[in-house]
Amino acid sequence: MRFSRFVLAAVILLLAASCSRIRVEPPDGFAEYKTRELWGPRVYRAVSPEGMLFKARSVRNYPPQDLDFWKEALFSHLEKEGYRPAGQAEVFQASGDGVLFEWAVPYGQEDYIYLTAIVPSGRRIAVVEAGAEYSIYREYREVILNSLKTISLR
Amino acid sequence: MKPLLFLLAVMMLVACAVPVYGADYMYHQYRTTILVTDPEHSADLIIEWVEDEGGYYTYKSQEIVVLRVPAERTGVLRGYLEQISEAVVEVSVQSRDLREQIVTLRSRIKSGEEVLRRNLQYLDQADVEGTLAIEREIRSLLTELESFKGSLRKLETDRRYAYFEVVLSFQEQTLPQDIPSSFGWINTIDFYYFAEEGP
Repeated sequence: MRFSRFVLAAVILLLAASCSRIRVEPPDGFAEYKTRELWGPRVYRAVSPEGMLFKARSVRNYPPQDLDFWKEALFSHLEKEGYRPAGQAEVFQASGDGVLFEWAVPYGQEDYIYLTAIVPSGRRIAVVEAGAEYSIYREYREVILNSLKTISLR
Repeated sequence: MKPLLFLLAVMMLVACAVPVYGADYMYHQYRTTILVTDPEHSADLIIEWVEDEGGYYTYKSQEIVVLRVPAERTGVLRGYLEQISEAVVEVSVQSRDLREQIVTLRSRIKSGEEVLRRNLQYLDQADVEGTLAIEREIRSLLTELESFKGSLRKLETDRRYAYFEVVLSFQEQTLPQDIPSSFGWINTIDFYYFAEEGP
């Protein structure tokens, strides 16, 4: 009896842990940072030859809300902080509906574009960040968007 | 050789009617800087607008667009730039009166053509040596006339199309501030942390 409880608890723990893992196809031309985590990485990272970063992770969808809520919450927060939108919000389809924002940010002497994207899925939200100097970002924008469409949580 | 020269000379004389475009002889050169969030997209919008208005562009990059805009549409373009940008930072205009240059060139062309016409008349009456001398003279006149006409065409283009340099500057902004959100995960979204954390 005690043994079966232990097995059950272990299975539940494993399932819970595996639920927070993220799966995403790397943007074309990016190098992936491989991890040794059995169930896939909690934080997925990739980098372009020019150093453009791509990071995807999952966070808890708490309080449980849908895309419209988080879209509004994220946009209004970053705008309040002083980030300037560099275009309209774009809705895309991944494992569920997602939305991305692009922001213009000064960094050093250069102008950067910072992408933030979210895909709420049940109890978790996939959060993606990417950023690079403007001309490098433009070069990789398409492959980043293609990669966003492959995001799923497990 | 003779018929060819004659044909060329006649063609020059036929083309001597110098077009006149209105009474405005001013050439305007504008340089403006606008703040935009997406320079490439803004450049495309500006070029599309100019082509719709009958103008054209001569250079385009992510930093600058060089346009030739119908002179009478420059005011509208300035309004359009205000509309598509966050702000028009500066506008400078330089104007030049082309009247004197145009009138001088026209009179040079007219007198050159007169000399050409006279030379053509002499051609039929000249002996071999004279014909060769007149041919040399005609050839030199034709070159000179071509150069004058080219300069005149350039000035006429300048009269009709204002020169417009639009510098596309990335939107100026201050550094974002760190303001706490009620939602924990949103607090983790921060460009500077993201950029400095590295891969």
